[in-house]
Amino acid sequence: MMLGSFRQSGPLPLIVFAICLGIFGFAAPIWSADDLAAGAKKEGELNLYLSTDLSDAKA
Amino acid sequence: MMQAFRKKHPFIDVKFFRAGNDKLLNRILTETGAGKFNGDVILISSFEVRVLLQKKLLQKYLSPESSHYPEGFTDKEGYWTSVYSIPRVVAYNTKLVHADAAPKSYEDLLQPKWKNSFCMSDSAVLWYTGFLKFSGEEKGRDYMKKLSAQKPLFRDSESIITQLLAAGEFPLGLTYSHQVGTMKCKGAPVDWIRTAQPIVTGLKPITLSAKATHPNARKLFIDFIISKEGKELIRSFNRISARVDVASELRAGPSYIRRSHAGATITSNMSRSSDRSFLSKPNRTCRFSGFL
Repeated sequence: MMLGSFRQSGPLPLIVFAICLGIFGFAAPIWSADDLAAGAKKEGELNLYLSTDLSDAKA
Repeated sequence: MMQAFRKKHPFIDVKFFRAGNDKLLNRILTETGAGKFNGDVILISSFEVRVLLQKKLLQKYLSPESSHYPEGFTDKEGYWTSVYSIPRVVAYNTKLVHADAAPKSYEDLLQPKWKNSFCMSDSAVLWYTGFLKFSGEEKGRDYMKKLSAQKPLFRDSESIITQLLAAGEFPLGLTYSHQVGTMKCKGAPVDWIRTAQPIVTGLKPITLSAKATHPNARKLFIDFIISKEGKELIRSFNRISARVDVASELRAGPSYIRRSHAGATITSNMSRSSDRSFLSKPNRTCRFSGFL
């Protein structure tokens, strides 16, 4: 029956599904710390707007 | 703090703009209006966070580290987590006022001898609102009228009040406990009154900008700031962390928080868990978070 539906509607739904999978697959949030670090390395920059001088805090 | 983050992530070039809450908010709004705002992470007081939320300039990020924060110190929807708490206290110059003669409560401030002697910030809105939440609307307003009759002095920031208090410009001031503690550690003649209740405490939330251009680096930074390691650093500059696994003067255990009025949280039985003398002995605090 599925094959029959596929024949009736053609390959378009399959193509749309594949495109969506590609888009949302890449856009999925990155949660692991390692992945975040890898992504941050590519970005290489960070802009902070602070109302506190965090440089006072020392280990 | 910056050095520690850079050491951990040397591949990130951290740039920052720093200003007081009002100026920082104005800058963000001005740059946003001009289409030039490029901030990734914003650390600003709760009132300003409310404004940024209303203008839809923030975005959600539920950091895995935020699960270590009790209710009221992190946003359930993920818009912010409070990096530290800021208690406002009644402080005094120990050269001008002997400890025994210092006021013990807010009621004591109404004594004739303290007329024209008490300085406060002209933007202490959170303190005013928190005080009324704690005392009750009618009783609180009645107190404020009496305090007004004492002709308090006004300055435009707590930093200035603390410095002038230490310099002996006036004997009493409403200011931040960490500033008094820092100056006391440097030998300045200042201390604060533990028995004056409520201690109205503000939050300092960290948030993600909706315009953030570095989606991974910004999350790394927030994770670091609110991590246990970051919180220990925060404590090193006399700030109070709410994280449950970091010793905190504001937290005696998970049962200490009880919801009272909408937007206000009353905490009681504050425990002494720090070696910092200026944070000892308070037994009750009112943390007002009504703007969030």
